[in-house]
Parts: sequence; C-alpha cells; structure tokens
Amino acid sequence: MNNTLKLFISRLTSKLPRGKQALLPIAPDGGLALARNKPGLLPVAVHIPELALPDQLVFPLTDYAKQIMCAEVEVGASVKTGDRLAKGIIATASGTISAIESRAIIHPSHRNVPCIVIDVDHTVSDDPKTLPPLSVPTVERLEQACISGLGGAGFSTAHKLRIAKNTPTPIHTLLVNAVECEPLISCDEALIRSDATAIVTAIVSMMQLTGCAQCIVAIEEDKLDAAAELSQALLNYQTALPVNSNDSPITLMPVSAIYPSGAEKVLVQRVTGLALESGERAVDRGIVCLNVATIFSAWKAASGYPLLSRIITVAGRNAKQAVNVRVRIGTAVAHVLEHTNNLAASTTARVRVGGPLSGFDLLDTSVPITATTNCIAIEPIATPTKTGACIRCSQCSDVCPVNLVPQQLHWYATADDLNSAMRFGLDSCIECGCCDVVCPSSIPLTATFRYARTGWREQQQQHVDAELARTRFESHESRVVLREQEATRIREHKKTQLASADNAIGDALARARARKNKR
Amino acid sequence: MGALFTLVGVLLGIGLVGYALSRLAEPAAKQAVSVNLKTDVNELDAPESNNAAAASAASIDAVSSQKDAELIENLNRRLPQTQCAQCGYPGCRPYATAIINDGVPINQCPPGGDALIEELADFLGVEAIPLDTDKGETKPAQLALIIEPDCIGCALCIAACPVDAIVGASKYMHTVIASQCTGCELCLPPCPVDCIELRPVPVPLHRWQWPKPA
Amino acid sequence: MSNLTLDTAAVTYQRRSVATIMLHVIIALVPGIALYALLVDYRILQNTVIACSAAILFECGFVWLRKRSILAAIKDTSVVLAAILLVLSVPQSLPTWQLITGVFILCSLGKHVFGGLGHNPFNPAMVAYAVLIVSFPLTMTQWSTEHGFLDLTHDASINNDKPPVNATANNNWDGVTSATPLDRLDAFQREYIAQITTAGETEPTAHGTNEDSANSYVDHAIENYQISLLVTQSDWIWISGAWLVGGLYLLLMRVISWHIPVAVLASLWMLYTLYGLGSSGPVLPATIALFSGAIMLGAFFIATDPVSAATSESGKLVYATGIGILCFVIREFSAYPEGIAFAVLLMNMCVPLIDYAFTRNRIKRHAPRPSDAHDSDS
Repeated sequence: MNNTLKLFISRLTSKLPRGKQALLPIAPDGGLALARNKPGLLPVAVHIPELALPDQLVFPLTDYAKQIMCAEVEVGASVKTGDRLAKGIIATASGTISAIESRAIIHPSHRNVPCIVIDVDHTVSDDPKTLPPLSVPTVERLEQACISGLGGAGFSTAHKLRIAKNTPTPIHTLLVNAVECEPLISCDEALIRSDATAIVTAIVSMMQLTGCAQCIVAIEEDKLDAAAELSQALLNYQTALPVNSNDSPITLMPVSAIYPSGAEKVLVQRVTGLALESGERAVDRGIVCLNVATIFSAWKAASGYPLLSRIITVAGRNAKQAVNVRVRIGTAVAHVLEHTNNLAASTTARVRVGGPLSGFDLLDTSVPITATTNCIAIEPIATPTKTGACIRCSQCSDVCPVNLVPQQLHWYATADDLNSAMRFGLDSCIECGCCDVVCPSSIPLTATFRYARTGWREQQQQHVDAELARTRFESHESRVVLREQEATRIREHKKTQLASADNAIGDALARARARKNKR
Repeated sequence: MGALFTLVGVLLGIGLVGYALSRLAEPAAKQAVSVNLKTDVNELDAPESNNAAAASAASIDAVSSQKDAELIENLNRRLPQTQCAQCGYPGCRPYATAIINDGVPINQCPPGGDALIEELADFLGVEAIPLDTDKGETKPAQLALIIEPDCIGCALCIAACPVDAIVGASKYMHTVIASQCTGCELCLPPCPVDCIELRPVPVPLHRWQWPKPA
Repeated sequence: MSNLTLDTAAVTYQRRSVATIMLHVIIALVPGIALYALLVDYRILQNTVIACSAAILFECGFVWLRKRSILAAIKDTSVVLAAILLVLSVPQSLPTWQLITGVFILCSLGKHVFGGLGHNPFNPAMVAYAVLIVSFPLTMTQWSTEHGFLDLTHDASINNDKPPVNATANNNWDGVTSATPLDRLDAFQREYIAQITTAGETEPTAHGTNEDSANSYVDHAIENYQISLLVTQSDWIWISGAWLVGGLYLLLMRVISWHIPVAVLASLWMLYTLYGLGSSGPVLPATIALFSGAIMLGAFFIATDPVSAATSESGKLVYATGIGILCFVIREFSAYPEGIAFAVLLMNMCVPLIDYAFTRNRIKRHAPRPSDAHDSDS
C-alpha cells in the first residue's frame, strides 16, 4: 500500500516541472539545443583506432539514389585493393569474389539487394595507396577514387563539383561542414583532432579544385579542442603565406551547437544568412558545401589513396563502449559491434544507423557499412507512446529548422492531400525529427512526412510513366492510321487500275463488235 | 460616441476580413506553381477553372471545337493511360473524346478507379458516381511477362500492344519492355499458346515508399 | 535480432506531454484561486472540487460512450482545466446543480460532439459559460458574495458597499447578493448618463461660461477617479494581479507565446485610451480597465487555449486583436457587463478563416530548373 502511494506520488511529481527539464530545448531560430553530455557520448580520442579487417566484405550494387547497377566483375575473379567493381564501387581489400547475390543492406525497407561479396585474402599485403599521386586534385581522380559525400546523402563528389561548374551562378564560397549531423556523433571532431594540419592542406587543395576565392569552415562552438587545433593550423598556414596576402581566405566560423545545424540547408542559413528557397540548392547561390571528411578523403585521393574506409561513431545510451573507429567500407555492422565490445549490448537494444534522431532501426546487423554510415547508435528499446490528438500548440512550427508548419503538413499528409502538403513545403522537409521530439501528443510527424514524401515521388513517377504511355500510344495510333491510309491508297489505286483495265477490255470488245458489225 | 466606436469596430472588421480574403486568393495561384514544379505532366492544370466552366458549357453544345479539343486534351492527361480499352473505346484519348462529345459517363475506367472518378467529377463539375463494374474491377498495377520457352514467335501480340511495349519478330522469340508495359491485358487474347502472364509490378528499391504510420 | 523493433519515430530526449502542459496552466491558476478564496469567496474551493469531479465523471462517460481509452483521456487533465476555468467565470453563488449542468455542457457540447480534445472549435469552458448565462440569467449575473477567509469577522456588507439588491434569489440570507464591480460600473455609467440628459433638459443654456466648463472638466476628473476607485478598491484587482503573475509564469515556461495576451491587452488598452479621450461620461483609465473584470484571466488563460486559438504567429495577433475589440464593444455597448467569453467564442468562429489566411509555407519556392536531375546534400 505504501509502495503504491509512493509510486503514485512519484508519478505525479514526475509530471511537475523541474529545473531545466521544464523548459523545452527549442532554439530561437528553430532546431533543438540538445546537450552534448548525454549518457553514451564518447570522450573524443586523438587517435582513431583502425578496425580489424573482416573475413568478408559486402558491396551493395546500388548508387546513391538506390538504383540497381550492373557488376563489372565475375564470381571467382580475384581482385586487389582499389579495383573497380562497378560504377562508383571499388574493392576495399584484396580477395576473391565469392558471390554476387541478394543480401540485406542498410535501408529502411529492409529489403535484399544484389551485392558483391568478397572473401578477403589476409595473406596479400594491404597497401591503401593504389593510385599514382597527383600534384593537384582533379575531378577525374575523385571519380576514380570513388569519393562520395561522407555526411549523409552519399552524393558523388565528382558529380557535385561538375554540377557546381555547370550552374549559371559563379561559385565563390567553399563551405566546409565540420558540424556533426547529430549531437551523438563525433566522427568529424575525431578526424579534426587526429590531424588538423592535414585538414587545412586538404581545404586549400579543395579551394583550388573548386576555384573558390574564399572558404568558411563551420564548426560547433562547443567543440573547443577541435576548434582550437583547427584555428592553430589555420594560423600556421596563414603565416606561411606570402607577406602581402595578410588576409586569410579561410575563415573559421563557430556555429551554436543546435541540432540539426549539420544539414546543408540549415548550415547555409546559419552561416551565410541565406534562406534557401524550396527546391533550391546551395550551388544555386554560389556556395559549394562539402563535409570536412569528404574534403579530407578527396585530398587523400589526390595523393593516391582511394576511399577505402571511413570513421564511424559507435555510441548510444546502451553502448558498452562508445568509440570512434575507422572501418573498411563493406564491413558488416555486426563485425563493428563485435570489435567495439558492443555486440552483447546490442542484442537487448535497438541498433540505429544514422543517429538516434534522424536514423532508422536495423532489423539485421549483418548489413554492410557504406560510405554514408556515420553512426551506429545503440539505444534502449522505447516503450511505444500512445499517439494523442494534436492540440495545435504549434511547438512543431517553432522548432522546425527549415521554417515549415508541421502540424498543417501532418494534417494534409494523413489525408493524402499531397498537393496541399507540397504547397506547404513538404519537399523542403529535411526529416530531422525535431518536431517528433517536441510534440506533446507524441504524433509520429517525421514518419508521416517520410511517407508523404516518398508517396509524392511515386505519384510524380506515375505521371511520368503515364505520359510515356500516352506518347507511345499516340505514336502507335498515328502509325496505325498511316498504315491504314496507305492500305486504302493502294486499294483505291488498284481499283482505279482495275476500273481502267475494265474499260480497256470494254473498249476492245466494243471495237471488236464494231468491226463485226461493219462486216 | 457609441455609434462612432461601433463604426470603427465594423470598419476594422471589414478590413480584417478583406485582408484575410485577399490572402486567400494567393494559395490557389501558389498551388498551380507547385503542381507545375516537378514535371510538366500537370502543365495544363493551371487554367483548370476556365476548363471547368467550359465543361458545363460543353453540355449546352455551344462551344468552339478549339476549346473542346483543349478540354479533351486536359481530360486525357488525367486518365491513367493504360490504353486497356476496358471502357469500350480503343484507348484513353478516344474515351476522353467520348466523355466530352457524347456525354459518356465518367465511371467507365477500371484502372483509374474511384480516385479517378472523383478527380474527373471535380474537373468537369459533375457528380461523382460509383465505378461501372461491368467494365471491370480496379486491380493493382500489373505487368505482362512472356514465358519465353513457350513463345512461338507469331507476332500477334506485337500488333495488339497499344504502347509498342513488345519487341520481337516473326518466328523469333518476343519479350516485353517492362518499363513501358501498362498491364492492359490486350496482348492476352491474341496469343495462340497462352504464353503471356500478368504479374504484379515489382517495386524497385529507388521507388520504395515509407509505410503510412498507424 | 528479432527483438529489434522498427520504430521510425526519433528517440526522445525530452518531451513535454499534453498533461504536463495542462498541469503548468493549473499551477499558474493556483495563486489566483487562492486569492479568490481568501479575499472574495471561499466557496470557490468547494465549487472547484465539485466541478472537477463532475468533469472527470462526465469525461469518463463520454469517452466510454465513444469507445476510446478512458485512462488516456483522464491523464491529459484538459477537462479538469476547462472545469476550473468555468468555475472561475461563474458566480460562486451559482446553485450546484446549475454548475454541474455547465460542466455537462462543457464536456458534451464543448468537447465531445466535435471529437474530443484537439477537435473542438470553441473553448469548452466558454461554451458552457455562454449556455449558462442565457439559461440562468438571474443566478449568473447576481454575485452573492459570501466572504473570503480573511474577512470572516467582517460584515459582508462592509466589503460590498451596497445594500442587498436582490432579495428574491436568496430568501434565507446566506450572504449578501450584489453585482460584480463591473455590473456596478455599468449601473454607475447609466445613472450618470441619465443625470446628464435630465440636467440638459432642465437647464439647457443657463451656464455657458468658461468657468463652468472648467468645473465640468474637474467634475469629469472626479467622476473618473471615483469610477477607478470602484475597481481599485475592490479585492478583484488583486485577483487580476494574480492572473497576471500566473500568465507571466506560463510565458516563462513557454507554455503560451506572448502574441495572444499582448495583443488582447494592447488592443483593449488602446481602445480604452481612445474612448477616454473621446467620451464625455466617466470612463475607466485604460490601465485600470485592464485589471477590471476577467480581462487578465481571459487574455492569459482563456484566449490562449491552443486548440481553439489561431496557430501561426500573425494569425494569433489577428485573433487576439479581434478578441480585444469585441470584448471592448460588448463591454461598452451591450447589455452584458463582461465581454471576454463572447469575444473568445466569436473569434473562435473566425479561427479557420484566420488559419487558412495566415498559416502558410514560410519558405519561398524556387523557380524550377530546366535540368532538375539530382538533389545534392552534404
């Protein structure tokens, strides 16, 4: 009885506001001011350990848009590190191709996709330098080294730079994104702390490649050590410059640690004050936005090292050991968990890739790491909260970092009124999950927007397909009509021929009759 | 004094309502822009209201043929373009022509289903009626597949396909171009060996959709 | 790995549930209720208890009838808050059965006929108030003030400097029935206007000198002062102050945004100032007028109900300005002494229009590119 009373009182008091908990972490310009000292967040080590090479590497045959590609190698072939397997995919270790088969990949659909499987040959020497070094980086080299965005979307960097070159707006600014995608992640911070001088060199070479006159390096203001090391490296670089150029083209810009400042659209707004319009990209305003890790790997590619591995943050509230590790692309998530002492913890928790806020849960941890896997979060299994009715408190529109009105969007999206949802900027949604966090009624807003966005894309695709069918039908019809006209013409021609032939016979008969009569 | 204040109140109210109404006019224009944004498929959605007016006028048969042609074009673009002829007309455009010129009911298209009927009813300003199930049932999207070992190369299905989605030559094996097949089933009857099957359209990974949250 | 669930919702760090929001509002109401009980009428406490229990019972009943989760409906405490607001807006002398009828209307007509919490277009408490005031005009306008805890020893009539007006309502003299200060204010103004007109009829052009006009100006000032005293001397001003404090707490806790209370108060203040400049009769000074009646309660607690209010920032300003204007018009030019309830209900009606006009995409749309092949990201 006493316990029940205590429980009741504790339940009641848990509802009462206490200290900072009472205030919502909504930042004035939108976004969430989430503290970085969350349980499971790691101390950033200067040295990034390299994970042991697994026995098997798996490469999904998909491009960044998840279209299936053709393999350019055959089963049984032996490949060396850096060998091309398909467009944009290289072998990250030497070995034999044991299979090209359907396997589970990191994708919210949890579907199987054709993959190239390499049995790693541990006896062959594993030299990551597979390309001849270049004096200056080129776009072709980036393509050759399979450099793609290491932030989130995984867009080919070579392609991105080509787009930037072809836009009518001249490119003037290189925006280096050293802001983490989520508060839990610290892989960019780890990279900067491991070698800040090399990063400054990489940034300078990327400025040469893009032809940008100025460069802004955006970093969270609470990453004190990383920012200090980077600014020291910048200072060193600046003093090494010729004396007359006392004005450094590279600026270090601290941004407040507000989730999701790491998203390109939000970062451009925070740093330059330019609000990108719906459907507009940073390159349309003359800004090339690249992740710091992408720039670093591009510089490494110029010196002969293709993109073979990436840094991954393994963390979360249930993580036994939170750590940043360098992982060979193609390694299974389970292998990463095992070698970071987190396999046991992950069996009773949920494994979320891409971070706790914007990622998704994995059902199967045998899936391979790709270039975009920046985080493996091990989070407790949440008790499902009951969704309540929207009380129109408009906290979601206060928190939205891209200035949307989620409550209105949600209304349209649940009613499948996608045209109206698009009118309210559904295509600008960056699926950051901020609105989910603040919603007092626990409405799954982001999940609804994801549904509506893919639904809209499908609807557009169906329109395109219908248009194709329409033009094909119309050309088919016109061909049928032409053929029929041709047939009629020939028939008519024959008829007239026949008619004239009839006349000829008649005439001949008449002449014959006339001759007979004359006699 | 009271009268003065009532007057001021009323004027303020009128001003507010007027302002609100003036802002109401904007979304319609915005919508047209957003619909046109992604593809040019819905290009002709913008003059919708004019066309709707024309639709009602069409029934009074006092419309110029030019406007009629435009209306047929707009209507055609809303049809699913399966070209399945289940409506009794040899394709989507002929059906659209029949709706405008002969006043054929709008519920004859099984692939479009109830969603299409509602859209057409909206567009033409007529009442939505349930689908005419004599014409067929609404089915999920499907795709023709030729069982290639059974194909005898008779080329009959090639002639039957309304969208030229079957390739092949006489005495040679035929195959269906999956990305261009509308699943209209028109190739089934001519096949002498019944080697064509209809299968549900597989959803490729890049067209996968998030499920709707409960 | 089968125990992993597919949960697309973000992992939550901090979340403030609907119940917490409602609890914040109730906490903000506590000082006002306490002062009410101490200074004016202790019966507010028993009425609150009665109304809240009735509200919970009715809520359970309606939720059960609608076959929804009873526990979830009770846990959000919104119905309790609505019941408290209703108690605060009715006279405490209201017979209990009428109060319970009000709570029933609150739950039924105010809330569940529209589909429960989140779907009601009108503020449920104000719907109940409106129904009560047209159904029981007598008991709803006669404020039989018993006494607060602090002046138990005093004779009630000292506190309310008027003799009992309505002897028929309470035959056995439980307390002294009187009008609210606003009622008295109304009566005072009417009386004054009547005096002016009769004076004007009897002595049309007798004194037309400058001195007299100066005298009348002084008179006017005195009248204004007297009328201010009516408000400031009463205990109600302290309660209004308590509502203001509670409202500031809500602002601080970011339960409400500043737009609605500021716009309501600003529009009323401006209208009262203008009215004071233009009127010849006794008028409340604008600042004091804001502390009269239920304006503070309305501005911070009633108009800010998120479900029935406008949602966008500009929409909130329009909505709240409308409430201010309507409240002023109803107070000054209608038979009802207080206008906040009807103003809120009328503006609730306009909310769909306001939302439709003002809630919009806050991002501009970029002109489509000719080759929109790929969307790039970081």
